Amino acid sequence: MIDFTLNGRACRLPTPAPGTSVLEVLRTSLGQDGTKEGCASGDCGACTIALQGPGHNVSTANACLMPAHQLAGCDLITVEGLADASQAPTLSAVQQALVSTHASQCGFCTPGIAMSLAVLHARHQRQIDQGEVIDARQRDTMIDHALGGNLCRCTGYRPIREAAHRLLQGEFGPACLQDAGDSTAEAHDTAPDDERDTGRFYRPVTLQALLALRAERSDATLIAGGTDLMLEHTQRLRDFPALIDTTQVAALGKIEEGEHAGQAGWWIGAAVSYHQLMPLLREHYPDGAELLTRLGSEQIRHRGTLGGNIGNASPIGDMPPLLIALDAYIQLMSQDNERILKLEDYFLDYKRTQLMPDEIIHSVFLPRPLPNQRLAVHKLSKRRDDDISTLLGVFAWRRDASGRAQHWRVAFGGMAGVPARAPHLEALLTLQALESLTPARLTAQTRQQIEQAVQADFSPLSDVRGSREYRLLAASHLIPRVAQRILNERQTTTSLTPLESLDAYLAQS
Amino acid sequence: MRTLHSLESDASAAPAAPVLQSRQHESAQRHVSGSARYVDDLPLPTGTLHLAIGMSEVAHATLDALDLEAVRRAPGVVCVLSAADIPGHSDVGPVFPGDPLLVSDIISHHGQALFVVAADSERAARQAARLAKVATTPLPVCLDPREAANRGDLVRPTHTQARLANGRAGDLDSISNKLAKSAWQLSGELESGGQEHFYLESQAALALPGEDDEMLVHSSSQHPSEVQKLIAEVLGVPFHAITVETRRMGGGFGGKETQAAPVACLAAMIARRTGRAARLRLARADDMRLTGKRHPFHHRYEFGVDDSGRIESAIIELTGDCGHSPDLSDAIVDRAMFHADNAYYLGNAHVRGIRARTNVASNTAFRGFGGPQGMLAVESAMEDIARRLGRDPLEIRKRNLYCEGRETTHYGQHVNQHPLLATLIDQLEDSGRYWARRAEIRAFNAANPVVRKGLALTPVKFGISFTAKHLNQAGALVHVYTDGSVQVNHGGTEMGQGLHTKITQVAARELGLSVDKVRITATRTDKVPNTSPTAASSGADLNGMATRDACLRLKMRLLDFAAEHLAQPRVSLSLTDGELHGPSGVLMTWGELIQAAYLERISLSDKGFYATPDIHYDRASGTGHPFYYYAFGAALCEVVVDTLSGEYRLESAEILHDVGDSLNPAIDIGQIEGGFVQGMGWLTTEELKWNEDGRLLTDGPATYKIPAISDVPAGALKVRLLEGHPNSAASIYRSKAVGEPPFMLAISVWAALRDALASLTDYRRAVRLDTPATPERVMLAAREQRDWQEQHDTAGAEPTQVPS
Repeated sequence: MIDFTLNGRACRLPTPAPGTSVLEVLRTSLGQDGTKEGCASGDCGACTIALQGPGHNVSTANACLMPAHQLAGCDLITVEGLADASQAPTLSAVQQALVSTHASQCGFCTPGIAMSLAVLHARHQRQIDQGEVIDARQRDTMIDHALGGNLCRCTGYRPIREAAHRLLQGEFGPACLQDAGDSTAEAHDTAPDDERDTGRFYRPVTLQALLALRAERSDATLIAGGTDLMLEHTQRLRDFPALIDTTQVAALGKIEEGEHAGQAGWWIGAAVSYHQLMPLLREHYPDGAELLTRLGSEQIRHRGTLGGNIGNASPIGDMPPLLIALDAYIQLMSQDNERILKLEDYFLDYKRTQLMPDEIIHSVFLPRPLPNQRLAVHKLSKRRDDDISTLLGVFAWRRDASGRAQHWRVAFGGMAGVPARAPHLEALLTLQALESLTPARLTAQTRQQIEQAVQADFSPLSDVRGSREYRLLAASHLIPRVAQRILNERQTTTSLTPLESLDAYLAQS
Repeated sequence: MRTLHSLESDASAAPAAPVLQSRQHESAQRHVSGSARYVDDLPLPTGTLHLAIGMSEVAHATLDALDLEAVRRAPGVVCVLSAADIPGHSDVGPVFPGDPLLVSDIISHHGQALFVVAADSERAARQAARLAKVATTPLPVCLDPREAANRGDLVRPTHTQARLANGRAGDLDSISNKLAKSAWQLSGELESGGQEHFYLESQAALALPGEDDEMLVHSSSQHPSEVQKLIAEVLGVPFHAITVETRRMGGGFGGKETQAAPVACLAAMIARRTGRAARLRLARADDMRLTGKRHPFHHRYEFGVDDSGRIESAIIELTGDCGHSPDLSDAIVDRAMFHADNAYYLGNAHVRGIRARTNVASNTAFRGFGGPQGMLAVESAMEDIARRLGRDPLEIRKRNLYCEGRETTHYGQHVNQHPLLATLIDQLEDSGRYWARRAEIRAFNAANPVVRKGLALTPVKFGISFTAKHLNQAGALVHVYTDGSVQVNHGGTEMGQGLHTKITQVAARELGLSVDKVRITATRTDKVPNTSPTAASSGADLNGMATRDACLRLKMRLLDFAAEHLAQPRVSLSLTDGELHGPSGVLMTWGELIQAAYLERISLSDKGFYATPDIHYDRASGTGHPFYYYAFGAALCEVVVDTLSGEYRLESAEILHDVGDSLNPAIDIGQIEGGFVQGMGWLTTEELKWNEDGRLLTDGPATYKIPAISDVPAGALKVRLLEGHPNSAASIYRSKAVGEPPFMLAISVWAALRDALASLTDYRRAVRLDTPATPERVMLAAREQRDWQEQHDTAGAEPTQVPS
């Protein structure tokens, strides 16, 4: 049995097969049809739900990608639970806002949009209550981030954005959900391990139990947020023999300061979500945080984990190129062994890594930025919101005493079967004067050198996201972009300073 | 009934004019609370079966053997049917044959339906559907419409419209000769990609078997009457045995005009065979692989232009990629041809439309129905002409608009209200500060080698009516109940466009009631029969008039009765604000009137009908008057482009659109905004890709990218309705259709991207930019422009060395 609350009422669900999604149980055994299935792949947001639990703040999730077993101990809120039927008006603030702005047409995406907005409203209200001042522009950014994973095919989004603005400005009353804020208290409930081992969905709470299960159950697959793995269930219709949930193991959910290979930094547990990682990156690697805002959607960022992004060994995951450029390490663990590798050595080939069948990813070591260390992250994708990278280039460098950019580490995703460093580009950046690499100064010869370096580093494939030709050229075009950016950062920019990229334009406009 | 309902609350109704008002969508409160039901949400009878389709894994082959043993033996499977099990017709082509419900001999596209599985759960059915053993012998796969056209492999014959500027019939030779005499000749070609509808609710149907051969089928369909017809034909029963109901769709956009029927037919077949309720809802990837999309087109054009940039002659060839069967392609390529002029007078014109057959799902209706594709060639040429002549594209566009003396299309229809085109453009040019912004953008571009801005102002003229004349008819059924409440039923379907809201407003206005007295129920084939699809933007035009007709009949009867019953002069009576008014003021409330009429045995129900007048088209001569009227619009867009990565963003879109006298401004603005953004998706990020075996690679939202919220930045989209210009045709309250026309306003985004790319050559060269103009295409076009600029650098000009 899985115990949780549904819209405030205690709910006990017979244990389903491992991999069964929250959306499936909502729409079948629980008879809650307000939550819609648009894609069953976490890309459209029609099935957005809200989760709340003691000690962690209210957040959205794609019900189609969340295993029902992970509902245990959660407060689940669906669109049916937004309004308090005993109150007048019978619609909650977010619902009134959507009606007043004509923000629904066919209505099929609307429940998901209402959920994303309800959570945004609660979060915004907490920030205001804490004394933060949020201007219209910041509100727009919050709205973009909150709704980037909710597709609407009818309205063109303008009225939805209007609904969001007016909602956040308080026009329709207080938020219908409460955001308790993140707390440091562990959210895990304390039921003993054996009670969790239901239906071949294991939820160990100790590291030892996790490692033992990993060794014993060679047929089981590790699952954390499930944002990638669940596609096996929903799209490829695979029935998992067994799943081992890593998210209840306290050690994997922590970020701790530490040291490795003579560097200070942070040990980040494999089950830390993108959302949890955000504040650390914001403070120390703002460009990395910006990248996170374009990784998946808010729903995905709440659920997806760092370990998952590395563990699925996709060549187009966004975290590995960032971490490789930042010289991160990965800690692998089994019952009788523990080893730490440079992350760049972890990936062997397409979907093949160093991870042994009895091992888990325990954590990632992210070094603290050195003085004068800089970072530039450039993600290219067909669409800005919620799209997988066609290619991702991450550039890390340090300025030496004379102000020269040195010690380049450049890593790319989407350019090979694995996320990988670009040694030829690193050498080229080290040797060439930056001025000679800027768009306005670039000679045909230098241009050719850059293109040759890219081709020496990578031989990308053509696929649905972009052709080989585009990938090679677009990667080489990132060099003048980065060069111009470094020069622009050194001098006070004026209206005559050429902008190096669309991002730079958007940042200044 | 023995006693009548007490009416005490009735007098409270005090409405203002219910049309021309921004009423909220009739289902808005249900949408936001999750209580609006779609087919997949309907409560299921015990024992309902869940269905999945077994689909082809090859694109073109003979089907030699279909071994379904493993499917039948799979856990939970109850019934498996293939082509041999179809009791009646096996072809469900809507107009022409060519669409087998299940393949019996030749597989003609990847993902085509081979068999249907019914199981006790959806997952069991879907898993079982993958277990079939299919033996096939491959046939050559054709994915290139031009190659098919060269081989003469067409789904329908080619059609040509050829007309000289003097109004006489022309031919290719005479028009080529004239074109060659112009001061300037320009030619070009272009590929435009298809578009997945991506309605958020995928195709779905629920079949509920009744007694004997009767069946009720809930279908998410824009065309319940055709679903009824096809189910009856497939099952081999009379039409009156089948009832189809559509309460609402979670989006349609043309994708549920013909494509909903096969899904409903398969559910009906299983329900008939098993006697159990059967539900089929396509998983997203199955929906994308199985159903047709917007037609990709190949466009070829030649224009003869005078020194001022005015078009004198045009030769346009449009090749539509129809997929494997005709479906609606004949009418779609026709509509592309009817819109090859967009808003411009072509002079001597030769327009040819070719319907090529390829081995992909049969391409189908999609908002605009070929019109958007038809306009691309001439809009591409506008910029080509401007760069060649060194003028601003806006100047060229204005010079070529339909105007006094140049007001007849290449198919011979006079363009009524054509001065609105200039009105729209002039107003936007002014309010959008076109020339000031042009100067600002030139200055910005001069200072920025990488980031470039583009600007474009483009018009739209779109013909309203089904080009298949017989579809321009509609019916309605209006009941008044003895509590005074009114139930309206009509032939149109609700897919989010607000049709039911508008029809409610029409009925309320005619009967002098507030809209909350009027309820529209689900569209059902047993209430209004033989209906047309809700398509061609015609929903409100046709059904609004039919509803008005029914209401007028009722009203006449009620007033006749009241005159007699109350002994008042008939001409002095009127129904307004929920009351019967006479010479001395209020005589009785609406409810009192209804109850009095009931007691006097006056019928409180009536039906209405409408057929659009004045439309005809002669295929032999390629001339006629196929459209009742035209709707117009214009959009001014600014984009910013990163020319090294190809990334871009919409900075602003200012739209002025003609809806005549709006039935509901909020709904109309919603249609304009949504249509524009959907059009922008078609032209920018929505890219369909197939592998060389004909398998669709972009079969879900992870790879197929429709616009998301930040593609429409805060404050970027500003829409206004053109006011003070009622429809010159006698449409419902002089309004105009609004579903499709705004889609094509998005051409301004594509034109603005080309403008930004032209800046790389100091506006001397227009670059070909196939659509969708993905970042990849934009980057490669920018590289082409830079290469050209390097080769054509004028002496003395400051060299701009940039990577290409």
